[in-house]
Amino acid sequence: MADIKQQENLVNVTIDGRQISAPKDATILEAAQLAGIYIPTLCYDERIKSYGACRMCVVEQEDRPGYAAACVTPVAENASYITNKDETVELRQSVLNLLMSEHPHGCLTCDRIVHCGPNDICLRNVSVTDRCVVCPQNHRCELQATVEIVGVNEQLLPYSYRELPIRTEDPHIDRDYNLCIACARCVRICDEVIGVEAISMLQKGDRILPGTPNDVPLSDPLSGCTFCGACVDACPVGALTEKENKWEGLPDQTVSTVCTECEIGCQLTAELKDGKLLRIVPDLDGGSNQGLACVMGKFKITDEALSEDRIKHAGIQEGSKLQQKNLVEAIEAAATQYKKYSGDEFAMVSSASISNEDSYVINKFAREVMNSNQVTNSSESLMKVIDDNFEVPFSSEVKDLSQSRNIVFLGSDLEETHPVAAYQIHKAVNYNDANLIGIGPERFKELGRAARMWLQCKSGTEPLILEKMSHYLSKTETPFETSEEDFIELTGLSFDEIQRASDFFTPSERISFVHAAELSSSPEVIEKISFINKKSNLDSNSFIFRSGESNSQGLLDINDSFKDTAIEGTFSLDNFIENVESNKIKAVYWVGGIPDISDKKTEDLYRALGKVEFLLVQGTAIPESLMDLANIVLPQPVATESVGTFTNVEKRLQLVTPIIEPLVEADPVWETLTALAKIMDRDVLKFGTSDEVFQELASEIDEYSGYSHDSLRLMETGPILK
Amino acid sequence: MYEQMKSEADKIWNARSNSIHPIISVGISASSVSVGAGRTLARIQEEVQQKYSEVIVEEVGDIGFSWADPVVHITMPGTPQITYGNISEDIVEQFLADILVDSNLRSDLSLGVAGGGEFKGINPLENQPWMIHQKRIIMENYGYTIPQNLSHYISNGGMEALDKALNSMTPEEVIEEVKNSDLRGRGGALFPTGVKWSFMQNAPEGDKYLAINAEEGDPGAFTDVSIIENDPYKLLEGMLIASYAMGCNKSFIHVRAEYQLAVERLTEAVKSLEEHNLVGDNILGSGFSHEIEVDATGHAYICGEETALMESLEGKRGAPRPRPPFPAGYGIFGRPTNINNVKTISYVPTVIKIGHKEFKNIGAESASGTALLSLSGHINRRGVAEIPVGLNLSTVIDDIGGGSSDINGIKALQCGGPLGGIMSSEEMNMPTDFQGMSLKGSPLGSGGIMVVSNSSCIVSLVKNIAEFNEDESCGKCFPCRKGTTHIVQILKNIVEGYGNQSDLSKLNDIGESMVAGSLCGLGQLAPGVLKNALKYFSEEFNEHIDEKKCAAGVCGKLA
Repeated sequence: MADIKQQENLVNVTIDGRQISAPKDATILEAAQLAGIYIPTLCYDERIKSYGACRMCVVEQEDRPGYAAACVTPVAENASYITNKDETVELRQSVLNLLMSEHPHGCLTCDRIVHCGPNDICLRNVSVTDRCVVCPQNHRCELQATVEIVGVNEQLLPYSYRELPIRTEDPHIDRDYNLCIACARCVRICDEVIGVEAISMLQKGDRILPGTPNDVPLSDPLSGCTFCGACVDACPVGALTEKENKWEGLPDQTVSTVCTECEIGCQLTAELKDGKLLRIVPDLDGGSNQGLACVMGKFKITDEALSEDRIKHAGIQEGSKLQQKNLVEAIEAAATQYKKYSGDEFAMVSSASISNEDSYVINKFAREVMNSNQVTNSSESLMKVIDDNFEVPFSSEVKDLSQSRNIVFLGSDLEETHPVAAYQIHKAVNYNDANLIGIGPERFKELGRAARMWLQCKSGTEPLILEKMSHYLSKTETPFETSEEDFIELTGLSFDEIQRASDFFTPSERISFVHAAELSSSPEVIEKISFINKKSNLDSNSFIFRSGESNSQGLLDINDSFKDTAIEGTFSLDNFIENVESNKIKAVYWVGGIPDISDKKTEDLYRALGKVEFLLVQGTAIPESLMDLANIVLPQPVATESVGTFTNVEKRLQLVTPIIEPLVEADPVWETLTALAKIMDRDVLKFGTSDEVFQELASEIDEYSGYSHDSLRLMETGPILK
Repeated sequence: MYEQMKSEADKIWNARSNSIHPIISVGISASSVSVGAGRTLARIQEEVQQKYSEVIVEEVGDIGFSWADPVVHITMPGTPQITYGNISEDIVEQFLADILVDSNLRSDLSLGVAGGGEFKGINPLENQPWMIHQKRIIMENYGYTIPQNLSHYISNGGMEALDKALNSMTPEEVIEEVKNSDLRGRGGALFPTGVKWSFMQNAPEGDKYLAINAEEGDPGAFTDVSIIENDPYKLLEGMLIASYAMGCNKSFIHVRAEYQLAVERLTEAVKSLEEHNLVGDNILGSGFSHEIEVDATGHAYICGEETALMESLEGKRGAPRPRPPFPAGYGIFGRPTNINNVKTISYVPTVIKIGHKEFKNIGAESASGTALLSLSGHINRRGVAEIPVGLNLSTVIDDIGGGSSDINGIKALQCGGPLGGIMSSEEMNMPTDFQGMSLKGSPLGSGGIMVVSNSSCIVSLVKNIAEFNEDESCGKCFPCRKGTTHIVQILKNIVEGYGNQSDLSKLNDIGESMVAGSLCGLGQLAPGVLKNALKYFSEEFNEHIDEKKCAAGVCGKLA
């Protein structure tokens, strides 16, 4: 397994004469890596199970005949391994020679490779399909690096090109199986970690290659590919490449950033060339994602910036038509309006997908500039339920899910809402033989396949199922209140089915409750999980995810810090609608779009917004219906264009760094509000940069103190706040 | 319980033996059917229906004389059973008329008579040159019983060992007995079976499995299928005893689906055991429960490798897993698993029945018991034979096999399948012994001996075997995937007259990398035949390379 578990039991081994203490379940390769000893590999990938196929990592054990593949052989107490004997190196060279007879390698053994560019005339007349310099993976290729390190200077065996057509019919991913070395890393990561099983190894012997069923395109439903791009990241050679910017070559700059698509906050490296984004590579060091990402982070991170619906200019409603204005004009007009209101006449509503800095300044503006405590965000109710029920809704880190042995899953399709968390469940099932039980009306595709059993109950009866299940699991003596007859009537399931599902769990091992909550889902599920966590004698932990919000944790932390100054307790979206209807609220500053709430509530919300005297809406893309109601519209930079911190579901504080040039002239919310306050002559906001906002925020909120943008930038991965 | 079963079985068997009607039994197996035994049987049934209504016609197991198929046994009331060979469909009418009407015993077609003594000029079967050196333990019922008939099996001593093991021995005693008998794995590795079983004793609580490797992919190997076809209960009884000893609650038989008749008979036999509560809960009142699953899978040679077999049983692609973890710790679905070959397990009832001392008396120092051989190639009597380990190899070839079928004589023996080896016929005067033959470079492996005559070209033969290995490599590990391909390429060049001396060192280098670097036995053993062919027949390679000549006239371009 990729993770080296922290074990008390260490074993002593010698590798190349060096004494090393390694965890007793470590492989020889892992032990060598701990000590910084290099062993070449091709089919090894720390994100997946070792495979032992490429034989690059063969090492000798003293006093033992033959070779051991270091990636799959566990260390033995007091054993001595030699990684670099001449015979071993020769074996590696000869295996590479075999491999190079099927992989284009004209440049691999040529000493001129460092001098040549793609457009140079080859002095050796190597045909164009056999050159490394025209491969999209040139200088990023693991085979190229391995050949150089192992030292193969000449290709001894006849070479044959596969002459397969290059598959370019799919979005995002190009497949050139002429370059494939059949290490199966793509297949294994798709199968073991992503859980999609879109591709598999086809044929056998020398004809073995990865591919889709019936050779359909990846985008065909028969393959089921979700375009998470894990296969591309896993591919050691140029067989799988990102379609976009494929031929742009190496980046001249790399930027570490964080995806803000969901609250996992995958840490990503953006590769840039001449300021242009070439590709995204998920960080192996990323605390929450460990080298994984989903289609949003990998391929669609700039979609929001490039969206056709993007608000590109500021606008002022004049004669029921939105007139394009410049930013200064629009902000000045807004200041004039807001000056007319104060106290509870003003309200501020934001989304849960804005940075901590924006969120902080929003609170400050409302409370200190407008003297109003009416600050809310569109999903506060869900956050409140979670906050009320759990001291920590997230018992540990996302990656710890992969260590669970028993998992109960409820809610919306995690594979859609938080794919990277779903990958950890697949890891638990595939590497740890975890027992996964799903509860809910719909058996989801990937998680459904991984589950031992899916209790397909009627919608909304999940709490009852949970109660019955915990009854079985904790072996409670007290009678269950609902009769079996009623239970069947209500849930559509019998006691026997719940019993059977409960029997799958390994007794004596902790049960993890994973819930993908939505704004519209029932709070009772969360209450019930909390009850089981706290009150029953069951050893359990919980992983509660919130859909569609990338910074709800940060928002919660910041709002909490301001609640001390609140006069009337909490203020929710319901209160907002109520107060507008009763004409208390007259001026509104609205950030973002319309939240994903029930149809009825959406209707109420629109009606209320229609009654507001002055409505300013700031956002990246705003629905037309909301624009029509707005008096002033302001553009907003997207996360990939601006700097700011986000706090993920694990309470990990992460810095989002811009990776593209701003496409729209827009100021972030904190900057807009600062400017607004200045024009309004309420000089309480004095921020020049996002970092200055953060530093004030950090001085106000204990958990955040001690960090700054600069200190976060220097960290391998964001810290988890206590 | 067993006694009652036995007495009921005896009744059925005795009624058959003392039949007042003539019994005609036709040996039916996939191999005999391939040369017309099915049509012979149909013709006999037709004749009997029309003319001899009192005669009983039966489908029995194959006695192992593939060279004489179709084989028919006839028992007239009060006389011993006579075995006839080569009874093709077109002579059936005359043959039956001669025997049943004219009382002409047709000694010209007879192979021998059962019972040990001469009968009306027909020699006893067991004294025939092809039988006298055999020692049939596993094959004892071949040709005499109806394979799927449980009563036939029980009445001939079957299930006695199971009863003994379950009801009068502890699992530890069974393992000890097998250890002491020195029974060794007949898949070819010769690992002591009892020791292998003992690895399962320390396994944690929960499911434990026994898997039977009936993949038998070697071309020229057909002993496993013969056991399953001709005496499936022997295997099943062995499995039950082994499972009892190791505490396995379930066993799997991984058999290739192409073995249609074998799968049919095996499935029927398992069903019959279930009906008689010999599989299921509380077997023979001992408290031991067991379940058997027959897994017929599409054939892939690699699935005969034990870790690939487990992957296949789990429903995955058949490709080897790295070891460690070993199957006894982490096997099928991660549970402790023991994997044995069909032949190995089929010895177990005998070991338990006769005890380790007597079993050890059979065979040689290096391995006790018998060796089941598949004789094929340029030899007169092809088929299955069972000999005590250590019998002289020339005796096997000349007496049991009847010598070369080619007037030019024998050039080589290719043993142990495509992953085995090859030896010169000059080395033949030696014991048929697993270790000894390995040292000669032609390991017996799972018992396949292919006789190669002087009319054959060794280079071409080696090329054919290399092509098989190339085809059947799973493609997972790099040395085997590419190594097998290059070996074929080079050998193709040589037989087409484009070879040069540097090719031989290339072959050697590739072979060495495969042996040292491959993940599983397939890649490690694939260069074996080539290596030993270069050792014994280097002049033939040189002739192809230097003189562009194929003396045997096999390689078209060089003939």
